[in-house]
Amino acid sequence: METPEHLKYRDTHEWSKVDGDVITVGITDFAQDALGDVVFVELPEVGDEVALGDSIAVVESVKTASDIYAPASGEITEVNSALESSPEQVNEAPYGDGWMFKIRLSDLSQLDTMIDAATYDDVAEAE
Amino acid sequence: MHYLPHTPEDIAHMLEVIGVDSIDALFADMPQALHNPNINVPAGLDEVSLLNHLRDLAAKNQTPTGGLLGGGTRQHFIPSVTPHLAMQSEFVTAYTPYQPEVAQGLLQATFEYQSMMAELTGLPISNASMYDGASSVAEAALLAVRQTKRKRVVVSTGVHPEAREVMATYLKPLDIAISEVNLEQLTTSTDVISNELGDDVACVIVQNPNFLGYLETMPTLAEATHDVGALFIAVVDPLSLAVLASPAEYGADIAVGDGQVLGNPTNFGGPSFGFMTVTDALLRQLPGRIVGETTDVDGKRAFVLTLQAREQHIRRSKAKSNICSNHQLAALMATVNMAALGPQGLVELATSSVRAAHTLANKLEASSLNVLRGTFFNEFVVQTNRPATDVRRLLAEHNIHAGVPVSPSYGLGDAIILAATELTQDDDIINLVDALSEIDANIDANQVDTPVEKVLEVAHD
Amino acid sequence: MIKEPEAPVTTPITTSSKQLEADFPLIFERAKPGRRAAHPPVREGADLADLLGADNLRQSPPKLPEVSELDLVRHYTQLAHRQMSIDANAYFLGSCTMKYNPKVNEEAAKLFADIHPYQDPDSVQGALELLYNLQSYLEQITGMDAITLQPAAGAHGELTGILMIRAYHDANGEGDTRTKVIVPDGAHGTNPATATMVGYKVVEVPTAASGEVDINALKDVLDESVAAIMLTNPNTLGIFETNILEISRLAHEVGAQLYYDGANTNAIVGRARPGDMGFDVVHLNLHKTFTTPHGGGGPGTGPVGVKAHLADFLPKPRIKQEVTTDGTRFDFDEDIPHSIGRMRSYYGNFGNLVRAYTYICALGCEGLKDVSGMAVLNANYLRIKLKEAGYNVPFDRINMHEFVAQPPDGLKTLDIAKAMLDYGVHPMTVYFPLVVKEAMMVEPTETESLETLDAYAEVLADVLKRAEHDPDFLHEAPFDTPVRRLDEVKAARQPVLRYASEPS
Repeated sequence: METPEHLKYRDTHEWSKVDGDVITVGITDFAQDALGDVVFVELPEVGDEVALGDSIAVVESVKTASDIYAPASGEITEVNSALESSPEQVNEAPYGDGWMFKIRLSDLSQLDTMIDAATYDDVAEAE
Repeated sequence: MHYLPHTPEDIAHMLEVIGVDSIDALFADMPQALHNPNINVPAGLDEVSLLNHLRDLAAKNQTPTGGLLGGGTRQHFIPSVTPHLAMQSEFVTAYTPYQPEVAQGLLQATFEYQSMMAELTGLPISNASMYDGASSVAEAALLAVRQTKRKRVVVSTGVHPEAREVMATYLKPLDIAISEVNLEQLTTSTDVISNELGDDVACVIVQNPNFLGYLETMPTLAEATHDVGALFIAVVDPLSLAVLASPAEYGADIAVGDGQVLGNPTNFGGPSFGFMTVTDALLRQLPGRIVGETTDVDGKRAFVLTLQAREQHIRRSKAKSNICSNHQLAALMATVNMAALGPQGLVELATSSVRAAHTLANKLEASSLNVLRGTFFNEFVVQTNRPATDVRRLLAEHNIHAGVPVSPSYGLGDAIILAATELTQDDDIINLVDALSEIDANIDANQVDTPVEKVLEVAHD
Repeated sequence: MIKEPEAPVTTPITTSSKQLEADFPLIFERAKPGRRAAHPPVREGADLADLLGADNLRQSPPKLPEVSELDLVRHYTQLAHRQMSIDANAYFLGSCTMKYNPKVNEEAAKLFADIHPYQDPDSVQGALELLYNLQSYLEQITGMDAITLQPAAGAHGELTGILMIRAYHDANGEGDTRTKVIVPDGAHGTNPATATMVGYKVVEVPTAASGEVDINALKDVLDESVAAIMLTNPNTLGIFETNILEISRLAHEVGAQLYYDGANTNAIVGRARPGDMGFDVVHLNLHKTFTTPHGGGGPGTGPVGVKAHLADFLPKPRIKQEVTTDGTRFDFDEDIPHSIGRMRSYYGNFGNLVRAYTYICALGCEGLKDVSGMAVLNANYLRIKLKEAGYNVPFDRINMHEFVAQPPDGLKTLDIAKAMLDYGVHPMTVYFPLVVKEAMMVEPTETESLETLDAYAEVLADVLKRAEHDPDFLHEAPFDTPVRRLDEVKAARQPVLRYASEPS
């Protein structure tokens, strides 16, 4: 199970890649493995204002559906609409083509409350 | 009588295995205060006494003939082969097909059902059926609210009054506003609807043929609806779709209705089933079960409940609806019946029904009864000189069951809806025309028709 | 979304002999233009275009299958053979109460099949009397004061019940302050989904080590913001909530209403009543306890009973009995000023109400008591037998009408379930309730014989034995079913939801 060092995490299994005041968000390798084959991803809409901890997307496998929570507050600037036709990218490339949406942060200090790869691995192991 | 297999020896053996000395001991977890309630239900009956009792009750009913009663439920021809096949015990006594390997019978039949409903309505996605037409209208409105994120629903009063009541029950706790638009005489006016429309409207709901039996100008209503970005919901009589333009042809986003007319008996109103078909764009918002095609590990075609992540057993509080079951057996009756009739048979049923109704209307007019003229399918309105429920009762005294009362809210005065189907014979038409002429003309003598009995006491149970 | 006419073969050719068998055809694939089965009476007359206007007509007839009557009979008879059912197979689905459906019920239903909902009420007095009697019997059985027969299914009954609770709080001026509904974590999925449909926030309470609701956790969340607590009793673990009277007291102390999910009524029917336990609202699933057919998933029927303080809110119409100078007469009562409204068209799934009435009349009060006694006896016996067969029972105590087991460590419930299919036995409910890992929820019902229970336990023992001997067998089973394990991922990723005769 892979947990790239250069990303930041939430204990609800979202990763964030920071680029200036914009983060790209997806779910971790651990999370996609636990879900099994992803069959559908319900994404937020560009322009949505989201708050940290809001349930803003849903990942469905055949017999489960999991909420994806906003890892930070801000505005949705882009969503990965390719997942509508190829949801399997979440399984195949969770840190690559399986990304879900981008948020322009309302406040950069939110990044400080995210956890690093080693801490996230501990969280995942405990589950 | 009972349906229990155990002999006294079986029971003794099983208690011993469990390690208790009586059946009552198995209920020791229940607080003592709850045990042995006094339940006032009569003693059990043997099968002969049981059926005699039920026949006695049935004998207090009169069974309509001739297909003259409408209002959303009608008698149509159901070939003998339909119930024979649909009511096979493998179908009747199966559970929800959660184990697809041993449920291909019902799963495939449901896939066939979805295909037929898609074909009838022209909309590509059908669920596996719902409770009834009325609750399907309510579910369609909820779907539109979810999809558009708007909180006002515009509905024509041409939609069945009971469907509007059910929708109001469903929407009230969710603070969704309902704007009812009255008919202009017999149909929905596009101008009047347009005046109600705005960018807060989730959907417009129109029934065709409407509750009174008349055809609506669905294409212009759909266009006006789409102009404000709302969804157009067509409430349709599925049998009429054998000949009438399909919801897809006039641009509906959702088609719903009650499937009773496709092959279920009238059953005093239930069970029948509700159906819902939608455009591709609304697939993920569709409530209820859906069956899809796939393959098994050997590559054989197989069918399975799919897209289940929308449903209550997975999403729990975030499900699209709390609906858990469909009305599988009633939908199966319709599936087999449509296959039995085929396109030609279905067209014949619809065409004969329309012709019979127009013949009836012409004969009523020839007898000076006041038929309200408009383009109607197989039901239409006749104004009467007496209250509608009195007319219906007096007809029943002639052993003619006809005349759905039209609510005063339609502003048509005393009026009834009459229907005709392919089961309506010339004698049925003549008898109804004669009886109605007599009842309507005999208004001065209505004293004798008024019940003389006096109500002494009313109880609900 | 639609099936391609000749889908490219993407599945590699395997060596399985099953591969060589043709797919079972769809009714559409048996069709040939010009064939037909049924011939309805035909009335000649004017052209539809003249009567209805050409613009209102559809361009071409719907493309429905055209088959002969014998083709139709073969098709649906063979399909029936591709289907397990109670009449042919043991079907011990927990929480589903798959008991035998008496055939006399079907005879009774036929007697009433052709009456119409809009007939003059005086011409359907027998039907109304039956409904009135059934209401009264269900009141007696549940210990409630009034019943509506209108809801079309259990989940529909839940919605009816929670809507009434909301209307009651509204009437007391507490509609805005009571915002939550409490459900146990073992609840049926319909409970939280229903509460959401009525605009409530759902609060889950955990299950205690005893298998009952954690009463301390319940106390922590129970306050005057709670509109209702929804409980199943016995609960989904098959355990009677022994603190039920205390829970009722606590709920009513803060003004909350207690809702009874009647899914498990078969455990207590004739022996205890939800009304006596303190429940304010009850729904019943007539297809469970009262033997109306499951029909492969409906039509169900979900009558709802309430205590007197909620009776004003029942759906309309109600049925009233009038004692007149001419005798007794039944009619509909539409004049219910505080009613939540209508839940369904007409008066409910009448055909099923006739079946349930027939069943209750056949058994009578003593017969109903035997139902719960034998149902609980069978479930406890089978619990012991499955333990002997090598299965775990996480809450190992005297249970009610059902119990939850688990496979031995290392085995998957899904695999056990699939292996059972080859024995002609339908699996139990699997992976529910969610509070038990690898849950196998078994409910044998009272109509199964000792021999069937023993055979069922033997099948489960044999599955374990074979799994030990040949571990792969479990992952690959079933082998002898009409189709084998399905690709459910493909079904969900590329949904094909209808047959299409030509590409769109």
